[in-house]
Amino acid sequence: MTGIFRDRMGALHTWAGVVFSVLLFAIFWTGSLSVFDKEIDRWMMPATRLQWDASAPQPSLDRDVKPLLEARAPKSPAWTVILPTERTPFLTLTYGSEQARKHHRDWFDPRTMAELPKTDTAGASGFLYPFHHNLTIRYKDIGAWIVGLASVAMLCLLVSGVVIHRKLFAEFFTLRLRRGFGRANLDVHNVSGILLLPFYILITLSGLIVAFSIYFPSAHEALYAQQATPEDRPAGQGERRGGRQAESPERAFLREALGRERLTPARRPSDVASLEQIVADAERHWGKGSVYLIRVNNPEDAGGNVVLRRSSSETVTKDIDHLRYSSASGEPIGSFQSSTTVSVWNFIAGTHYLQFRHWLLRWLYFLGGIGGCAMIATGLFFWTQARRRKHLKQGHVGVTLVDVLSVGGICGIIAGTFAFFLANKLLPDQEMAWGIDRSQGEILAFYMVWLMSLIHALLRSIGNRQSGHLLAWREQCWAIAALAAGAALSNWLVTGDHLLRMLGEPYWPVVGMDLSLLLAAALSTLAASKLARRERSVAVSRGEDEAGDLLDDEEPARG
Amino acid sequence: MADALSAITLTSACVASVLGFAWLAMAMQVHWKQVHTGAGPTRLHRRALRLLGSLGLAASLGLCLAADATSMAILVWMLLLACGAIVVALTLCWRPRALRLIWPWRD
Repeated sequence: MTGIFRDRMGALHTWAGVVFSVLLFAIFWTGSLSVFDKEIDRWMMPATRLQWDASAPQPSLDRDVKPLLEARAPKSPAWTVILPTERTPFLTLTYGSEQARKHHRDWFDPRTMAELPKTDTAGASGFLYPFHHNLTIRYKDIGAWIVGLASVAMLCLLVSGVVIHRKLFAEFFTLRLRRGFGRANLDVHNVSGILLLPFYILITLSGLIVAFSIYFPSAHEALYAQQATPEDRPAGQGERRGGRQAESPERAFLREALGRERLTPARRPSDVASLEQIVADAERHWGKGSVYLIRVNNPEDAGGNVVLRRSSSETVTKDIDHLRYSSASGEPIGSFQSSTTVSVWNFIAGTHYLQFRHWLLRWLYFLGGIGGCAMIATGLFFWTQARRRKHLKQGHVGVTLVDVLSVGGICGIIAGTFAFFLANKLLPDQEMAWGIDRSQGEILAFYMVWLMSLIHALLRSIGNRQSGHLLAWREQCWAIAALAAGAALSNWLVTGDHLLRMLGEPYWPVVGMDLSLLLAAALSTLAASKLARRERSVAVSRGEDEAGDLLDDEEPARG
Repeated sequence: MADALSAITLTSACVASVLGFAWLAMAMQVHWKQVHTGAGPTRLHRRALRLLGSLGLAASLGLCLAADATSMAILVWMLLLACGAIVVALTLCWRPRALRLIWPWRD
């Protein structure tokens, strides 16, 4: 009975693994980098490399900020002020206009209130982070659904992996890295899988729960469709949507869960009261320095309001509580405190969004994510390792296909990411050919390098089915090393902020990024030289790989 | 000052998790043999190592709780445990004898 169960779990592990590994690797890789999205942004946007000083006085909202907004966006339906923080050390003002739906976003040096010049780039938070949760396919949420499917596959892989692991406790600490590739690879897969298992479960499950409104919209839609009867609605709401039609279930849900109110303008002009006094009043409730965002809705209208958001840098839970004031009089008019259910959701979301201030935990998440990448990659290696001889003998294309996918899926996205960084430094900050601007050029570099890696892997593997994959791995490791070192070097050449200078200041975001790039270059050089040695040994004893020494235990090979 | 204190506490938590797992690993016959060649640990040694190891992991939890709010401390601890165990696994792979330092007694 247990034998059959284990076999079935083994089949699930094999198939879910081979089908989803490449996708999961891409999600884990971009997710790990998103842990440091703001720091990568600083590296990619040199104008924003400001030294953060917690003790420096904040800019004055009434004297510095309000006149700026009044001058720039008198007709804007909303102003948003985001105060500087350690990870985004500049003042952000966003505003829009009734006509253009697009929001303007301006950044200012909080010490001088000088506007920071824009770098035309999506940065990590504008590209790698969206890629992590929707693969940048926004149409009908298809990307998010693919990521959700991969997350469920990940959970299946984790559970089935534990079931088929025969020596979970006996080999808890066992890493036989010097016992040949097959043994070492499987040990790395098992150890990185078991030791980080709680982290993988947490991160995968929370990732699914965070996006519940995409994956499971029917629950709240059905519930709030029942509730949103006209009597429940506060007076005035829904009228703008035309008479009888009730507030949409989605909006009713957002109002109750997140406190998002829709504002009705009074259509009488008015000035905005002192924002500083409003913030001071909020800080009496929440504590000093707790306000991080100030939004003024309908600033020119007597019915406008000021909404203050509380920072949650000291807790895991993403705080969505807010206080509302009348923008005309500055009097408090309401507050929102999330319900227990919403707080639980915010806690789970907090473990995934990682918006709090904790550098050790941030690094641990990053390392955990990279550990996940290692687990996925070694899993793919095991698949091909265990089947290579059999498939080649039978003329089966399976192993060659998975070789191409693994080279393209692992080296490809890593090389693509480093090409994205390199393009950020090398492309001119202006429109290039065919109307492509720099931020699009960077993203194009990412996808092009990824595509080239896939084509290269295909050509190498078809060219020599015995050992072409080794050549593909080695050449792409060199490419990764060159791109990573090139990106670090180009940061020095283009911005002048070289590593020694950044260490001297010290400016950690750039130091961390440059050192990580150099480390990545060193590791892939090491991998390339190891692969060269292996190619020679394969050439000497063709067909004699170490598959034999791992087939005595663990998963039986399937083909 | 508060930052320096919490850095010290968290560093100690890292060390405690590595020590804890190292002792737990040495209580296992296969790893004891890697560290101290010869037969496995005696029953007394095994018990002492298991006790010390568990205490190490518990101490690491305590230190995490001292440094941060509970919810954050649990997250930090969970990941520090993984790091500690990986450090022990790598040490056993590359420099197993180094673990004699934390348990020099053979019988």
